[in-house]
Amino acid sequence: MSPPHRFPVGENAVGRYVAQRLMLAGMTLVIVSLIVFTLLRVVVPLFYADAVDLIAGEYGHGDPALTKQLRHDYGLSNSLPSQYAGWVGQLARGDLGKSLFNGRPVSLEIKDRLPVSFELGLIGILSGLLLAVPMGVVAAVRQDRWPDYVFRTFAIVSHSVPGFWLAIVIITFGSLWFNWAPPLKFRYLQQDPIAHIKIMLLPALLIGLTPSAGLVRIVRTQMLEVLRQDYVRTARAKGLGNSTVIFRHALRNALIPVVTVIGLSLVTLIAGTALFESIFSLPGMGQYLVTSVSKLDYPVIMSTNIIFALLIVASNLAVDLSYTVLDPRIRY
Amino acid sequence: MADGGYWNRSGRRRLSRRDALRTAAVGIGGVAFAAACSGSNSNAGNNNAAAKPASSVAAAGGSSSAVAGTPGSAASAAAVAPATKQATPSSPLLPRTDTSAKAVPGSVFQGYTTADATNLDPLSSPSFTANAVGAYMYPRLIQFKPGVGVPAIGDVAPGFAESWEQPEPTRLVLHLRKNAIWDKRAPTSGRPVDADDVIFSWNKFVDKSVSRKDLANSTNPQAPIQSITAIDKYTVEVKAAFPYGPLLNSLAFGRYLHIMPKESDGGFDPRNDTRGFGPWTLSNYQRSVKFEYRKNPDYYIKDRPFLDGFDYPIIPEYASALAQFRAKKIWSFGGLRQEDVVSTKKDLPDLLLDQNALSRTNWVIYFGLQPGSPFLDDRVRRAVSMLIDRDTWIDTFYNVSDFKKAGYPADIVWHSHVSSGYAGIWTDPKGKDLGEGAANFAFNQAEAKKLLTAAGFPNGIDTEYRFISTGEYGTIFPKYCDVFKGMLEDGGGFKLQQINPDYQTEYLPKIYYGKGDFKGIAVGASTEYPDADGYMFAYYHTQGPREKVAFMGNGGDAKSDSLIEAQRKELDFNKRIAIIKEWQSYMATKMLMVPFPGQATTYSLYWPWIGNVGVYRAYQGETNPDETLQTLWFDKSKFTG
Repeated sequence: MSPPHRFPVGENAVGRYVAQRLMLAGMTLVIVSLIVFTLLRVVVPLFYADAVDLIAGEYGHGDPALTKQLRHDYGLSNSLPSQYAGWVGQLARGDLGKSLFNGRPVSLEIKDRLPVSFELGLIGILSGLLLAVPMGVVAAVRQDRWPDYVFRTFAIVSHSVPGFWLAIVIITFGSLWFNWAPPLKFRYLQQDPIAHIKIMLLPALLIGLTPSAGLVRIVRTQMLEVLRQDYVRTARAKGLGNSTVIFRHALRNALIPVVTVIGLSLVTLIAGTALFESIFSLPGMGQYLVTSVSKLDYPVIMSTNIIFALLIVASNLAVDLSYTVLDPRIRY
Repeated sequence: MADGGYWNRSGRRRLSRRDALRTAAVGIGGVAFAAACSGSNSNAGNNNAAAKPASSVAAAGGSSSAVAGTPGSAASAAAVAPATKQATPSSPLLPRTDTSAKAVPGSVFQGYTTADATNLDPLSSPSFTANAVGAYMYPRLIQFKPGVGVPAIGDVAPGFAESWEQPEPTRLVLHLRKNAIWDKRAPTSGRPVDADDVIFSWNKFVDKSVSRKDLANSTNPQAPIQSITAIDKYTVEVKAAFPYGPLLNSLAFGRYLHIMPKESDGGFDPRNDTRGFGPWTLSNYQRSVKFEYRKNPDYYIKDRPFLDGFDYPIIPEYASALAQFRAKKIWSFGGLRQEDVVSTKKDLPDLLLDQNALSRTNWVIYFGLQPGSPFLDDRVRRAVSMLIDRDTWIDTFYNVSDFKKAGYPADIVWHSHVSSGYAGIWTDPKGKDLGEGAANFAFNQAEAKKLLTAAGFPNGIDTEYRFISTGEYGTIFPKYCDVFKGMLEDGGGFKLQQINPDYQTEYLPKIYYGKGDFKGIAVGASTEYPDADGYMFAYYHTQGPREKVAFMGNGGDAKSDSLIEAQRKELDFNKRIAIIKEWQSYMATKMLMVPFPGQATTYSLYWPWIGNVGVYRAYQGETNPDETLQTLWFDKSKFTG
């Protein structure tokens, strides 16, 4: 990510900056597409297997004619450059392709699933923030006193305990002690908002737990640094109240690295919800991607990778632009 | 168990080894009905007898129609393996009483499945998962007859064909039902199902199915069916390339010939949509999330199914599925690990305890048979078999001691070269019928040592030992192999250099399909077949698609080949059984491969409001679940969910 001081300054600078970044994003996507295609279609078959080997398994090895036919049916018998060109051409037309195995358009699946994963990631990161910012601030303000120790311990423990493990523990002991289990049938927000919240809340909170641990430490460190700055001392000397100094002057400046981390975490969270989706039976992107990877469903894997790359590029740009809001000194 | 043997010493070396194995051991095999209820991908199977000859059969109008002209049924039933006991007043097992007469139609069964299907087209999917899903919508010409109160034994019953006759040994004429109609949605629009659909399905099977080499003679000269043609709109003729004993079983097998509509070729995409005529329709499918099936009101058997439908969310995570089961949100739990059975039943005493049928799969230890290989000598292969402590192995992996401690019936059965799940044709290695070869199944380190010495290896054999460790055969498989290795090395019989080949690039092409052209010992899985012949031919005949014996000496074992050929072409049931038993006795003396040790009783648990649960028992739990699911009903009076 580009450091703020390199941003251009002047009239229409924001527009020029965004245009530059979009061009760069285009190049990034082309490079990502090449890497993904090469890894998936050249490296994996070289050292492991291709989609047809994998899915036909033991029977396929006993019937070479059938596996040849399957390769043809799946469009895998053309040369690799021509397959790459075909795929990129499809992408350029906005067509993400169809699953090799069930023929369902990838775009339809993403349309249904991305909102679920996005919601999980968003609630996760928001709940993590709600937990981490107050903890980090209090830990900094009360440095080396018991609240600091408690919150730092929380941060270490939360960071050490994987959220999915905690989910399994909660489900296991919930069922053993109370014969409780999380809701089994997914309901979309528009179908039944209450049922939807009941389904989403626990996994989202658990998803947010691990990043919140890191955020507690970042907020604390940044606050400690900012609280020692001259302008904070000046604010206090002017007679401003403690809460005004902390929340208006210190916290706002301390949040720049936090926003950077959140921007990057959100996409990671969306892409990394597979285990939670599996444990809580949620129809998100993670499950879809894991199922597709296990079967080497090329169009799905390649297109979802491009979508995730696009999201990362977009979130980076959004984070960069948000710096101006948090720090008025930053100009484009 | 030998004094001071492997287990005693390993107990000292690694105190928790056996406990760890126990903990890791999952429920293996024998959960056919559980799988039927849950749709899980367990390695399930049922007992069966060898396939009966076709003779002449007519439907009695129900799914469990009487099958006439099937000599040997009594013998088959009598030979049901020991681990299939009935409940007694003091037994912890559920009563197997048919309650169909008081069944109340309605309600939606709550089950689950552990994995998604590759797609929904059972004839062209390169994966068997599509067969399991397709079975609900696309019936077969013939189906396996469920066991009522006892395990299914491989008898067949009418499916889409309501009757059939076999005028010549190689001709089978099937008369189709006239009251079957396709899904009323376009493009099938409720039209009658007829012979054209059968021919279309057969042609598609020959072109596209991964199982085509098992059945279609045009793709494999050893496969039995030469052609299927239409005689008229409701009559088809199956022409066999040679007289084939298990022909009907092959047509009933859930991985083979499902009947699909002609419209599936272009009219709709059968990979992600369905238009069937079976007992169920797929009303809602969300990839990697859930299947929801509903009753087909136009199903050709009236008043079935009892249930309005069933829901199968996909729950791959074991802890989640167990929690849902305990919370009564799912009603049956086919994938319950055997080590969790006793504690779950103790916590929730209302649960019904059901004894699963035995698995019909029989995995193998096989040998590198290159020129000069020590395993070309019968004595060395027999020594390998004698070094395996079968009872201890089964006790470890099947939770036997814990079941016995809890007062559950827990019987151990050994496989011969035919799985102990094939009741009626399996010869018990512990009995007298196997002849002199039975001694090769007994754990006897001293005798093994003598055999190795006689074969010229007084100091044992230093060789390679291969198995895959990457999960394709399940997470427990490497533990099986680890224990075998310990047993073979114990007592100085073998010194094994362990190699874990990559499944795709090395194991399948060079070892599994290597026809014995490798060095040392390998361990591998086998798949399920409609009849014992499928297994015997595929693995032990020199022309078999998965054979591991042809590289031996002068192209394999001629006597074994000739017995396998004789049984598959024999149409007299009793004569066929006699040949298969003779083959088992011969194999026991030769040990071309060493079969897995065997199996023991396994259990499933159900909530008590599932009427008829455990009563109708599928022959093939994974891919013929429609045969039993339509007999279940919801007993509201017992519902506490």
